Amino acid sequence: MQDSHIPNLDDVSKTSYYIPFNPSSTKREEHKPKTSIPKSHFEDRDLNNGRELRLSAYKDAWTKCLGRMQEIVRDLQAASVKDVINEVQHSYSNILPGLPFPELPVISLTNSGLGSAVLDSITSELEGKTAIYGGENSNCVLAHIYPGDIPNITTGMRSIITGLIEKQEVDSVKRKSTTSLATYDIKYLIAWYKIWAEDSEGSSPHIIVLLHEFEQIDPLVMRDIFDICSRYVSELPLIFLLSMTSPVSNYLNVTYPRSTLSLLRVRQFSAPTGNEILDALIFNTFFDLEFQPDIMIGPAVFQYIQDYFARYNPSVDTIFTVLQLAHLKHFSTDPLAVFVKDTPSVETLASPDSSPFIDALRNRINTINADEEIPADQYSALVDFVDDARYKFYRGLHSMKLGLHVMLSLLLFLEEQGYTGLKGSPDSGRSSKLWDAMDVVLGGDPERAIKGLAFVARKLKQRELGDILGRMYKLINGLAVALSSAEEEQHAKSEIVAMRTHLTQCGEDDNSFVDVVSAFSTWITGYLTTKLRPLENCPLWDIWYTGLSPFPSDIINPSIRASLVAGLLQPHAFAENLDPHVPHPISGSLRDLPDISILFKRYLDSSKMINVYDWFESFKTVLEDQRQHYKELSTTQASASPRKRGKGKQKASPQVDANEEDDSKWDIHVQARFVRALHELDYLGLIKHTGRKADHLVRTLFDVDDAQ
Amino acid sequence: MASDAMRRYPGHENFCYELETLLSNHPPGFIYIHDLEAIRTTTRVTGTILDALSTTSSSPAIFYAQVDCVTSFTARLLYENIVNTLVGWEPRWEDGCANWKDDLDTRWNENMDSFVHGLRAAHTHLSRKAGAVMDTGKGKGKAGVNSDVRLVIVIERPERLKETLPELLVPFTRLSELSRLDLSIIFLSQVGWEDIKPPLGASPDPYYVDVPPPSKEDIVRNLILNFAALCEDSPSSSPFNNPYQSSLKSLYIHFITTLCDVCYPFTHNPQELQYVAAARWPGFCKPLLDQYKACGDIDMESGEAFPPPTNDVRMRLTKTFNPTLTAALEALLPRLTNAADWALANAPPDDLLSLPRAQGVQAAGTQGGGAAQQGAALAALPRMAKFILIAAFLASTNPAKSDVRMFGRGLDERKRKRRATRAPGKTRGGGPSKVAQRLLGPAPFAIDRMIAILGALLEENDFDSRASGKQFKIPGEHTDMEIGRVGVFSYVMELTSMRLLHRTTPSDRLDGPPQFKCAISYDATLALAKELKVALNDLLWDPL
Amino acid sequence: MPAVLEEESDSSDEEVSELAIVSPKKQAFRADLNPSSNIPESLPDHLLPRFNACRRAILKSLQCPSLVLPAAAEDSVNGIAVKQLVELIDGTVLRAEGNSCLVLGPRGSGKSQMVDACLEKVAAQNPIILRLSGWVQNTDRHALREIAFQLLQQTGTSLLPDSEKVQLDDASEAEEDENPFLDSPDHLAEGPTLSLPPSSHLHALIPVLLTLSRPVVVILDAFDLFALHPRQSLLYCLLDTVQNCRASSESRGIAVIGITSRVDTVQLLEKRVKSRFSGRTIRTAPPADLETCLTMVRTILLPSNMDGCGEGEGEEEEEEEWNNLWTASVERFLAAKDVTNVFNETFTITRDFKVVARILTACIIRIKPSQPYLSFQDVSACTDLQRSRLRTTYLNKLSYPALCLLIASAHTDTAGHKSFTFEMLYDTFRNQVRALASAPVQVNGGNIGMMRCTREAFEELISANIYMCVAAPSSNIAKQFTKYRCVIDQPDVKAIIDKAGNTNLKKWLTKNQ
Repeated sequence: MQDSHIPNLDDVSKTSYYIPFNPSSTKREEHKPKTSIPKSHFEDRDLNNGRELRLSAYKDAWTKCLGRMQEIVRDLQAASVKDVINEVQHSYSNILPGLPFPELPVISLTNSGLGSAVLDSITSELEGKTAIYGGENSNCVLAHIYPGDIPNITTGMRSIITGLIEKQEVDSVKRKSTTSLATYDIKYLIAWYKIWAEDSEGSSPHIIVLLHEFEQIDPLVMRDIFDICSRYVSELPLIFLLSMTSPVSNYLNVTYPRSTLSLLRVRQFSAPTGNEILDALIFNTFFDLEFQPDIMIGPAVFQYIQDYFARYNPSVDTIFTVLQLAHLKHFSTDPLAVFVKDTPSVETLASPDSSPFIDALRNRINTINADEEIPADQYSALVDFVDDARYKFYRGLHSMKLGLHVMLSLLLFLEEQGYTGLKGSPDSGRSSKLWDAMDVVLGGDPERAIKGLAFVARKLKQRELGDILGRMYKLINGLAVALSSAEEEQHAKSEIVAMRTHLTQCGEDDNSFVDVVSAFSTWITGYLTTKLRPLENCPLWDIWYTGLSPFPSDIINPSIRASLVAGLLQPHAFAENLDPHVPHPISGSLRDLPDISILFKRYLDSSKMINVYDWFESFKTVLEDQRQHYKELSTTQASASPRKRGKGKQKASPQVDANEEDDSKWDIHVQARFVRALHELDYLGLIKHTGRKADHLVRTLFDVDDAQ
Repeated sequence: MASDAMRRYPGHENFCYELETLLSNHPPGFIYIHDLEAIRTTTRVTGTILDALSTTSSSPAIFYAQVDCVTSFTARLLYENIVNTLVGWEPRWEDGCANWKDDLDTRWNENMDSFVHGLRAAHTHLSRKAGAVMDTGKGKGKAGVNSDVRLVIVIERPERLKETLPELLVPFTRLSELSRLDLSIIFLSQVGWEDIKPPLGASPDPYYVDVPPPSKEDIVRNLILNFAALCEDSPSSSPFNNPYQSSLKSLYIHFITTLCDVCYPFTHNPQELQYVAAARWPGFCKPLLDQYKACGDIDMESGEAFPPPTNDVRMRLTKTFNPTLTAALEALLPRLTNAADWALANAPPDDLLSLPRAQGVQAAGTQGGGAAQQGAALAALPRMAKFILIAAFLASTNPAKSDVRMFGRGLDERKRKRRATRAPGKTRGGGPSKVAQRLLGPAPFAIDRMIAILGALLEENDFDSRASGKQFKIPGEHTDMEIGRVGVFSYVMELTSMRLLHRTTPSDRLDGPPQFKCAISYDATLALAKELKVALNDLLWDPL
Repeated sequence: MPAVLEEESDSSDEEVSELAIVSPKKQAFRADLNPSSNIPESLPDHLLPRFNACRRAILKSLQCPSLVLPAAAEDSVNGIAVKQLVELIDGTVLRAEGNSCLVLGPRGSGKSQMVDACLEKVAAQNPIILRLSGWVQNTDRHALREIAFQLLQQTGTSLLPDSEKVQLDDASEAEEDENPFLDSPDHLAEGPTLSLPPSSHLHALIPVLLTLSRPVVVILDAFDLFALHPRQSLLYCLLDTVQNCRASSESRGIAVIGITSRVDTVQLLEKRVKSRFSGRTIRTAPPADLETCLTMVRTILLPSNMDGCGEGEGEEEEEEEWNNLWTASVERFLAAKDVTNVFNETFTITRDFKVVARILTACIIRIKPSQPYLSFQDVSACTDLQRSRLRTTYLNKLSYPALCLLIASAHTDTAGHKSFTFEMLYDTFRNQVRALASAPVQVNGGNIGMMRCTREAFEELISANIYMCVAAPSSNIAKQFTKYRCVIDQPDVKAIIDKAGNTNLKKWLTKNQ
C-alpha cells in the first residue's frame, strides 16, 4: 500500500516525479481527497459552504471545457492514426518485387505533441477493441515492449516472445523447459505462430511488436533483435512499431549502422505538432460559435499559454494543465464565482450566515446601476439580476465571437489580396493572424484595429469587394441559423444583399462604386463596433471572465533556486503552519525562524568564504535570544505547550524547563542544532567544501536581494 | 553435382568446385571461409552446395547444419539449433517444442561436453537411419571409422562468438577431434581468421578458403540471372504494368549493365546493387510499357511478347535515367528511404516517350532522398530546447577555458576574436597536430557550465522575445530567473531521453553535477542558430 | 560441364595476374612443359574414375598424415616414442600396472595420433578408455561428470550416487550466468541426465576406477590446462590412484596419459601432485629435416591403395596407365627446383607438417580433369593462401570510397594520430577534394555525394575488422565519433592502392610520404 506512493525514481524516461505528501504523523484525514478548493482571499464574504459549491461549479465548467478539447484532439490525430493502421494492415501486401531479400517492416511514429492518446487509439484499434479508424478487420496480435524489457538480447527476446504468446492464448501444452526450446528462441515463436495461424482462419495474421520510447532502447541490443527477426520474416509476418518522441526524423539513420538498416523497410509517420495543435485547441474551444464555455479565459492567460507552449513544452498536456489551473484559480479567488453556472436558491441566500456575501453582492450591483437600488431583503431581485447578467454576458461573448469571425475572414481576405494586416505584418501566416485577432478583440480597445480595417476596406477593388461581400454573406448566413436572437444578423444580411445588388449595377470607376465601397467600410465599422464590445462592459463580467488577471506561472514552471531562497527566507509563507500547536508568529523577527533559515540569513550576510566558527557564534547569539524569549513566553503563558521550531522534524528542541538545564548541556544542544542546520544547507548545495583554508567554507549562492 | 550452384552463382565457380570436392571426400576438420565483400551471397552458395551434397545419395551420406551466431546468441541456442537441424527435427508446439532426443534421452543442450554427446547420439541416430551398421565401442573410433555418415556444421559470423561466447571458440574449432566423428566445421565470416583466432595457438589453424570479391561482370550476370526467376513468380496481371516479363529481358540486360557501370565503383555488394535495380527498374521500363499500351496493337490474351525496344528508344531511356541512378544510389545505399517509396517518388510521368526529349529528361529527374535533414526536423522543438541544444553544442565543442572570453560581456571584440590557431599538418615540434574538437566528437560537460552558457545566450538573443519581465530591476536578473526554471532542467532530461543529449554520468550518482554530451551535428546546430538568430560561428572557439 | 571448364581456365589467368611475383617463373615452367615430355596435357576420359579415386585417397591420407614413417622407424624420435608408449600401455593393460606419463611435443608432431595408434594395438584387451580434454572440461566437476558419462557408456554404470542428482542439478544451474533453464518450474522433473557432481565426489569416484573389472586408460588432452584448475585436485586424485594401484594387487591397472605441447608443464604441477607423477615424459617431434618432409610428401602423393572403383575388364591396364602418368607427373613435380624451394621455405618457417598438408590439400583440390597434374603455380598460390596470409592477397579489390578512407587513415597516421574518427577521415578527404577538385568525379563520370558513400564504406571496413574499434562501443557515442585504428599498415595500403591503379588516389597517397 505504502509503496504505491513512492514513484520509481530510476525511471529515466520520467522528467519529474510526484511524491505525495506523507507526514510522519499518522493523521488519516491528510490522505483522503479534499472536498473543497482552497480558501479565497475574500473568505470573509464567502458563503459558508461556498467552497464546496464553487468546487462543484468548477468541476462542471472544467469537464465541459476538457471534453471539448479532447474531441478536438481526437480530430487532430485521426489522420495519422488512420495512416499508421492502414500501413500496418498492408505491410505484407504489394511488396516491391525484385528485392534481394525480404525486408522487415518497421513503422516509426513520431509523436511529440499529442501525448499518449495517439498510441492508445492505435493499439486499441489494432487489438480490435475499437473500430473508429477502419482497423476493425485487422487480424493481428500486438505486444507492448518497454525499454526496461530489453536490457540485453536474451531478456529482450524473451519478453517479446512471451509478450506475444500470452496475448493470443493458444492451448498451451506442458513443456519440460530443460529439454525443449528456450523461451527466448525465435523458433519457439515460430512453432507457436504455426498453431495460431491455423486456428485463426484469417490468412497469415500479423505480429506487431510495439516498442515504447524507442530512443531509450540500447541500439547495440536492438541491432541484434532486428537482425534475428529479419531472418525469419518469411515465416513470421513481424511488424515493428516504434513510438518515438524525438522530432528528429532520421533517428534510425543517425543511430543504427547501415548493415542493420538494410534489413528493414522503414516507413515514418508523425502526429501533428506545434502551433497547429495550439491554434486548433484554443480557437475551437473558446471562439467557436457552436460551443459555449462556462467561463471565458482572458488574454493574459492566452498569452501565457502561447508563450509557455512555444518556449517550454509544445504538448497538449501543457494546454490542459494551464487551462485547468486557470479555471481553478478563477473559481477559488472570488466567492461570486458561485454564480457561474446557476444561482443558488433564495433560501440559501436568505440564510443569515451568508449575509456578508449578500451585502458584498448587493454593493457590487448597486454600484453598477445606481438608479434603482436593490433593498436589503429582496433576494429574488438579486437572483434575477444575476441571471440576467449571465444571459447578457453569454450574448455579449457570442456576438464578440461572431465579430471575431467576421473580422478574421476579412483579415485573411485582405492578406490574400496582399494588403497589410492588423499589426502591419503582411506575411505572418494564419496562426499569428488568429492570435492578433484574439489580442485585439480581448485586449480592450478594438477601435483602432477597426478603423484600420475600414481604411483598408476603402481601397478595395470592385472584384475584391464582390468576393468579400460574398464571403460575408455566406458567413453570416451560415451562422444565423445557429443564433438565438438573429435580428441584427438579419439586418446585416439585408445590408450585404443591398450592397451586392448595388455593386452589380455599377461599373469600376464611376463614383457609384465609391459609394458602395464607403458604404461597405462604414458597415464593417458599425458592425464590428457593435459586435466587439469589450466583455468588461457586461455587468458582473468578472464572474464569467478571467480578464486580465495574470496566470500564476510559478505554479507550473518555478525557478528552482529563486523559490529555494525564498523558502529559506520566508518559511512561513510556504508551509503555512510549521507547528501545529502555535499560531503564526506575528513578528517576522529572526528568532522565530527555523534554524536553517537563521543560518541562511547569516550566510547571506557573510563574505565569499565563511568562517565556520564565526558563523556558529552568530547562530548561537540568535539562539540565546530565542531562549530568552521562550523563557518569558513560558513564564507568561505557562499553559501554552512548549514551542518547537524547525519544520516539524526537530525532536531535540528546548524543553519548557530550559531554565534549570545547565549551560554545558545547552551548548551541546546549540552545537547539535548548528551542525544539523549546516548539513541541511549542505544538502541544498549551498556550501562548497574546499580544503584551501582551515575551517572555512565557500558560498555557492550570491547577491540575492534580500526580501526583508 | 553442385554444377547447378555454379550455374546459379557466376563468379563463385571456383569456390563451388573447391568446397564440393573438399566435402565430398575427406574434408579437413576445420575450414574457414573468408569473404570480404559479398558474405551474404557466399552464405547462400554454401547452403546450396551443402543442400545438393546432402540430397544426392553418396557415400558417406552428408548431413549439415547451418547456424548463425547472431540468431543463436547463447550456447544453448547454438547447441539446439545445430543438433535439431542435423537430425532434421522440427520442434512442434503440440508436444511443447521438445528438442530432438535419442532413445536414452540424455540432455545435450547444457554445456559443451553434453553437446558433444548429443552430436555423437545424433551421429549414431543418423547412421542408423542411413542404414549403416554401427561398429561397436567408441574407444577405437578415429575420425573416419564411422565414415558412412559425415556431419558438416556451418557457423556464420563466428566473429560474434569472440564477443559473446568466447569460451566456445576453441572447442568448436576442435570439434572434430573432440567428437571423434567424421565431422567438419566451417566458419563463414567476413572477418579474417587472424582477427578472431584465440591466443596461445589454442585452436588449430583452419583450412583457408578465400572467396574473391565479385567482379562487375559476375554481378551483372548474377542480376540478369535473377530476372528469369522474377519473371516466373511475378503475377502477370496485365503485361502493361508488369515490369518483370521475359519480353523485356534484353532491355533489362542493358539496364543492368549501365547500372553496374555507374554504381559498381561505390559498392561491390551484389545485394545493394540489386536493391537499387529493384527500385529503378519499374520506372525505367515504364515509358516503354506505356508506349506499347498507347499503340496497343498487341492483344494480351494471346500473350504474345512485346517487340524489343528500338535502339533509339533504349538510348533515350538510358539518357533520361542515367542521372537518377546515382541519385538512387545516394538515397538507397544509406537507406535514407526504402526502395518501394523511392520507386514511387521517382516514377516517371506517363507516356514519357511521347514527351519532347528535353522535357522528358528533367521529368524523370529525381525528387531528393526523402529523409528530412536533422536540422530541419528539430524545428518542432520548443524555443528553450533549441537554446539548450545550442548551448550544449557550444559546451561540447569549446574548451572550458575559453568560456569567459567567448561569453563574458564587456570584453572588447578584439579579445574575443583571438581564437585557436589551427596549425595545418604537423606542428614544428614534430608532435601530432591538434585535431579540432568537432572532428574528435563532443566532449562531456557539467550541466552547470551548459546552464551558464545558456544564460549568456538568452541574455544576448532572447531578451526581447520574453513575455514580461517588469518585476526585474537588475540587468541579467530576469535571465538568471529563466535559466533556473524547472522547465529548463526537465527539458534537459527530455532531450536526453530523445538522445539529442547524452548523459555520460550514471543517473544514480548524486555527488557532483551530472555530465552531458551534445549529440546533434554541427549542421543541425547551425540550422537552429540561424532560426534563433544566434551567430554560432562567432561563439565557436574553433570555427569552421 | 563446359561452362565450368572455360571458367576455370580464365580464372587461373587472373590468378596469374594476382601473383605478379611468380609469373616469370611460371613462364619458365610452361616452357619446359612442352610435349617433349610424354605426358598428355589433359586427362583421357576413361581415366576419370582413376583420377578421382587417386585424389580421394590422397586427401584421405592428407587428413591424417602418418608421422611415424616405417622408413625411419627405429631411431627417429617418434619411433622411440611409440616404443615407450606401447610398452607403458601394455604394462597397464596386460600387467595391471599403474602408470602415468606425459606425451610432449610441438603442435602437429603427431601426439594424439600416436596415442590412438598405440591404443589400437591393445584393442583386443578392450580396456576402458576415458578421454578428457582441457579445452572442454574446464572445471574438475565437468571433467568428473564426463568421466562418469564415459563410464556409463562403456560399462553401463556411472559410479555416481544417484541420490545427489536433483540437488546437483540445481548446483549446475546456479552457475549458468543468466539462467536460461529456469523459465518454468518443472525443470526438476528430468530424464536420466547426468548432472554436475560436486568436487567432493572426486575423492570418492576416482579411486573406484581401480575396482573396475577392466583396465583403465585415462587420456588427458591439453594436460597443462588441467594443471591450471584450482588445487589441481583432479590430477592429484588420478595420480594418487595410479600410485595406490602399484600397491594394491587386485586392481586391473590404470594408466594416465597426459598430452601437451607446453614444455614447462611438469613445472606447473604442485609439489604433492608432482611427487605422485612418475615424471616419465615421452617426446615427439616433427620431421627432422627437409628430406624426411619430402619423402612424407611423396608417400602421401603416391597412395598405395586406391579404393573407390570396382574391378572390371580392363581395370588393370587402366590402373597401370594412370599410375604411370600420375607417378611421372608427381616425380616431375617434386623434381622441379622452384617446387622444392617452396617446400624448403615452408619447412624453414614451420616444422608443423600440417601446414604442408594444408598446402598439398589445396593443390590437390585445384587439379581438375582438364589439368590433372600438380603444377608450380598451384603450389605457390596455395602457399600464399594457406601459409603466409598477406592481407594484400584478399584486399586487392576494395570499392573506391573504401580506398579513399584507407588513404585518409594513412594520412592521419602520419599526422601522428594512431586512432581516428570518421569525421577526421572525412575532413581529410574533403580537403583533398578541395585541393584536387576532380577526385570524386573520377569514377565513370558518376559523381556522387562521397559523404554518403564514404560512411557506408566506413562501416564496411569496420565490419571487415580492417578498422578496429579502440574503445568498447557505447550507445553514448555517436557513430561518426567512435575511435578506430587501422590494422593495415602503410606499406600494405600502398600496395593495395597501387593494385587499384587510380592515378589520383596514388597521387594523394604519395602526398603522404
